[in-house]
Amino acid sequence: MDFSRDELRRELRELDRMHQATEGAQRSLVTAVFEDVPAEHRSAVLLGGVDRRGFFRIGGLAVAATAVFAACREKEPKDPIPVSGQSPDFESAKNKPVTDIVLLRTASSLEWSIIDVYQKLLNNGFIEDPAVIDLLLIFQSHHVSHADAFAKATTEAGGTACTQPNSKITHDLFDPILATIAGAGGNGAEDSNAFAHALETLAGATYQTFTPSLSQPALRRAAMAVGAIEARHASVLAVLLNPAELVGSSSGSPAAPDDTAPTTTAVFVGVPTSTPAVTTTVVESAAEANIIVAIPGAFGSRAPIPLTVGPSAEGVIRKAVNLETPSLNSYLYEDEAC
Amino acid sequence: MDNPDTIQRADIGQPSRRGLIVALGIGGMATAFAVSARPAAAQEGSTTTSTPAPTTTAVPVPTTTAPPQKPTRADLELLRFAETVERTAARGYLALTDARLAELGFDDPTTEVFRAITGHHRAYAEAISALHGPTNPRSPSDEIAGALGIAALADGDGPTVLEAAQNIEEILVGTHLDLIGTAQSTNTAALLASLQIVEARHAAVLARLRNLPYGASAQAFEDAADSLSTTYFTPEL
Repeated sequence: MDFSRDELRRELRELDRMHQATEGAQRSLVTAVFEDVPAEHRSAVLLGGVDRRGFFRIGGLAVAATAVFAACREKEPKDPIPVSGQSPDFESAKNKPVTDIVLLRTASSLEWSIIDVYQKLLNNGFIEDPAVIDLLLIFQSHHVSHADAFAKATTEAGGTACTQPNSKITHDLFDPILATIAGAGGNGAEDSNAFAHALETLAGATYQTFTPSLSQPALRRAAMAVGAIEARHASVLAVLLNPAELVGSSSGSPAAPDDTAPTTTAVFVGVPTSTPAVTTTVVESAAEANIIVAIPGAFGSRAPIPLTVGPSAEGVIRKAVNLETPSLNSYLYEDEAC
Repeated sequence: MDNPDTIQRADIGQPSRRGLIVALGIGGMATAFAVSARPAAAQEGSTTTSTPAPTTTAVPVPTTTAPPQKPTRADLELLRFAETVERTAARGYLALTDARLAELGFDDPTTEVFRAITGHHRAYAEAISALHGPTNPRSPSDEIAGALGIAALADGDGPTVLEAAQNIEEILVGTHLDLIGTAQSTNTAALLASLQIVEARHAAVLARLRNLPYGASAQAFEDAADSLSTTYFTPEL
């Protein structure tokens, strides 16, 4: 847009003249307002009647009133809800400290729980393959050595060594799986193998999990000196049970396509009719239901280990369990018996 | 402002009007503070009663100092060494190309094992580098390659390659076990444990591929007898 500079200047000069003309009148008005007020009272008129003394008076009274109101407030809270009878005393949950001793005791107890499972598997004749039996006997002897080592470390750390299975893990987790395997029928042997593999994987993952929780580097080293052996156990067993697939899909190298025939079990169901057609339903075999791989991934996993056991039959859902590394609910705390 | 009236009252020992207001204000403020502080004190347990607070439910606090989570300066040196070792191993396995694996006559599962192991060591080097933080990537070490016997991967026949690979993995397991026992920070220990446990699997599988029996003589504990860290890791700190 175009502006006329001359026109703008003319407007400004006109505005200035109007301002000069009204300024004098305004000054006269202010002078007239205070003309009759004594000089010592002019501040009171300007401040609305509050002088220095008045300011202190108001402030003091306000604070005093606050103090009085605060002092008069209700001191004891009323009963929230009337209760008939006597309410029980609840004890708040205790957060027990997880110390090195707790982890060492838990490690010993887990080893004994695994030893206990192997003994039951061997005693009950669940495992049929002699090669697997030989391996489990070796593994069992290793677990005894591990349990003894952690018991000794517990004592050296000032704790009470545990030389018994972890009752929480054995009773709540392992024994129900054994009971299911006992009723697994033809799947008993494969389920037992899968359980043994899962236990070795669990043991390795447990020590990997404990490593950053232990406060002393020497104890971490001791944990992984055992944890790596448990991982070897799992791999050796996996090579024996699943030699065709040594590397897991999450290992960064996809498995080669399998040209062999599927090993699934075909279950024929349905009443024969006049028509020759039959209905087939594929039921997962025991070996397929569980992930048994010698090198499952690039890094050690601490995730729950899935295990599926039980009889295979049409319409029967096999029992799926997640084996998790010991944690707050299954630790063997210092004040607890094995 | 004083006037003759107030001066006279002061002289006879009586509080002035101004003094009374100020005293009242200060007293009120003190009372207000005392009253307002009472609820907080009640929550923490009264200190006016003579009976001590119950201690039966108190949880003993561990007195040990928590280990550091982030790598310490010493751990950073340790990580640099571990990265060098892993990069050296990864470079060695690169010699096992698909063509060479086919030439060696390995079956599919064995070929997959070597492919996986090659990728794993590269991943370990990257993970260690990531935990270390921004820095120049470490280079493979010829000296460490010699100690690992990596040349056999490129030159040897099938059984020799399997034996060399198992030997490499065994040395790495021992080396990382040594480093786990040295690292101060929990993050460093956790990472090294997560890769050491898989390297033990590598070694076990390679031994089985060599048809070595896992017999009663198998060791119950890993050891670090052939750890590289005792010879090649010299902390500057």
